[in-house]
Amino acid sequence: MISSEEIKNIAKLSYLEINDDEMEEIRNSFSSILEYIKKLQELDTDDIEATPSIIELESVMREDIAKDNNGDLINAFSRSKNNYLEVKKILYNED
Amino acid sequence: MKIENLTIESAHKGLKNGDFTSVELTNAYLQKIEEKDGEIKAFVTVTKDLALRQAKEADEMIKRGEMTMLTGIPCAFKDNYLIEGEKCTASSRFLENYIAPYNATVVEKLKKQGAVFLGKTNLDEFAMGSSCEKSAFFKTKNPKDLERVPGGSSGGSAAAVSSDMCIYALGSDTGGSIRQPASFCGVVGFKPTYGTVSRNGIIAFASSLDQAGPITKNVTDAQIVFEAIRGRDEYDSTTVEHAEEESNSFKIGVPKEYFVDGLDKEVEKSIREAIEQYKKMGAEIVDISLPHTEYALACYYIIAPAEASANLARFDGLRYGQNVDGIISNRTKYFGSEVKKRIMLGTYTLSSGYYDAFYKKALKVRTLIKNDFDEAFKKVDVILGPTSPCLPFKIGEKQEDPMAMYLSDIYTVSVNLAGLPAISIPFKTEGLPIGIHLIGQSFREKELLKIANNYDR
Repeated sequence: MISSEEIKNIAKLSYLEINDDEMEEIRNSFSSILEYIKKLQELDTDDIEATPSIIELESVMREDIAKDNNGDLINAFSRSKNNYLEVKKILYNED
Repeated sequence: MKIENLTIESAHKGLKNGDFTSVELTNAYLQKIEEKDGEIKAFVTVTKDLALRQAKEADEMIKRGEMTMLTGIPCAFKDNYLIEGEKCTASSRFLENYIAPYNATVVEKLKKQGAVFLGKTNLDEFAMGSSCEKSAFFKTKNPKDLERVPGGSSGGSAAAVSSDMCIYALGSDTGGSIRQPASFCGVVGFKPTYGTVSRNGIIAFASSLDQAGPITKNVTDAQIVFEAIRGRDEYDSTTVEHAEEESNSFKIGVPKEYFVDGLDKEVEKSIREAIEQYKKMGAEIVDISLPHTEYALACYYIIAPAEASANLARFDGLRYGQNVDGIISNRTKYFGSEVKKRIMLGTYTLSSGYYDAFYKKALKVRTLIKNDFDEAFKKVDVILGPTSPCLPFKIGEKQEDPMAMYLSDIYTVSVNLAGLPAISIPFKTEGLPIGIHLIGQSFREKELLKIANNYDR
């Protein structure tokens, strides 16, 4: 069974918080899913190539010119200033 | 006017002959939604004003002789398709008040043809679920039996088509989310080959698996919608253009791995009956093997959450969606438990120390699953089996154990892992709906739909 500490750590990496009421349910279902997906370890895949995508993707290049410039995108921002997204300051001077 | 059992084809005929106008047709469907949706709860939003505006325009197009098969025909969209100026919630509290700033490519294509948009249908939050019970707003009911789920995640779309609240609907399919609800509601659900239909403007779940497609009354309608929405799109780099050759071969493969423990007896009996019917139609039935079938679901439940954890990182509440007090609070408060669980599962399998054992391993098993299909398609044209191992289950029945719910996708997920086209068509029965699942070869949807149509006719 996966520990509460481990769940808390995964939550942190996921930008989520798990409270004590939810913990048991999450631990239980997480454990049963992890148990199930371990099934893949039965297979020997040493010489098998990975398939991240079915289609071979090519990078598509274009000129760096804005098109379909849609003001509604900015309307969806929770806070904006002069058509820029406004967020809390995340970098501070040390002094 | 009577709208029960109208199809795209029959409604098109009526519009063309002047039996009714698109405004009349649209009003009839809006009326039906008003009468019926209180019970079924298929719609998150009904876009009445938009629909009537579009119907008027469609009538003008028809008068001018600019009509296509879809002009003036009322349809619905799963609420993860963006329609400019309308709410798009993905059935999540996080996006409860989000207004779409542009049209999805599929929406734009249908709009150009003069289609009428009746509204947005319910889904499991962010398309994560198989019953529509994980919608943050309400549970949709199965029109064939109100105590049962409509399937998911495109359950609202399937229920709306099944109960004549629209003529066709759009869904999205990451692991069976078009086909399984179509199967549960007794309608047709078609997932085209990965890369044939643009996902631009559809809220992403797992990008290497997601594909858009129609839910319709019959196979002919599925083909009509597919032809209208397919094609390369500069906004979705996975889309490709493909020309398909005609084929008259009629070999159907039946994998022995699909008829094992866990398959409901009644479903099995019906699928075997369908195989016999195909035989009578002149199909050659070939026993085949897809040896890695039993690993597909585990493979899927590593890859899909991993990609979801990355895709849903964009929901921080700053650029759109709910913003209360910082990123962690926004996500904790407004994501539902299933969504949180899958984000965390994906974060776990991608984290250092587990990446090779889980994620990389799953990508390799995906190759084995794809190879199984490649081998099988050397011998047959399509593969036939059940869409779901069980009949539509009761609301609340599979809430306790997450694996019980996940297992209802056991036949559909391998198709997404291999990127193949597949369709669920209703088995002809008076009882609870059962879906026949036909899987085709990449970019050979015409052949697949032709074989599906042979049964459906």
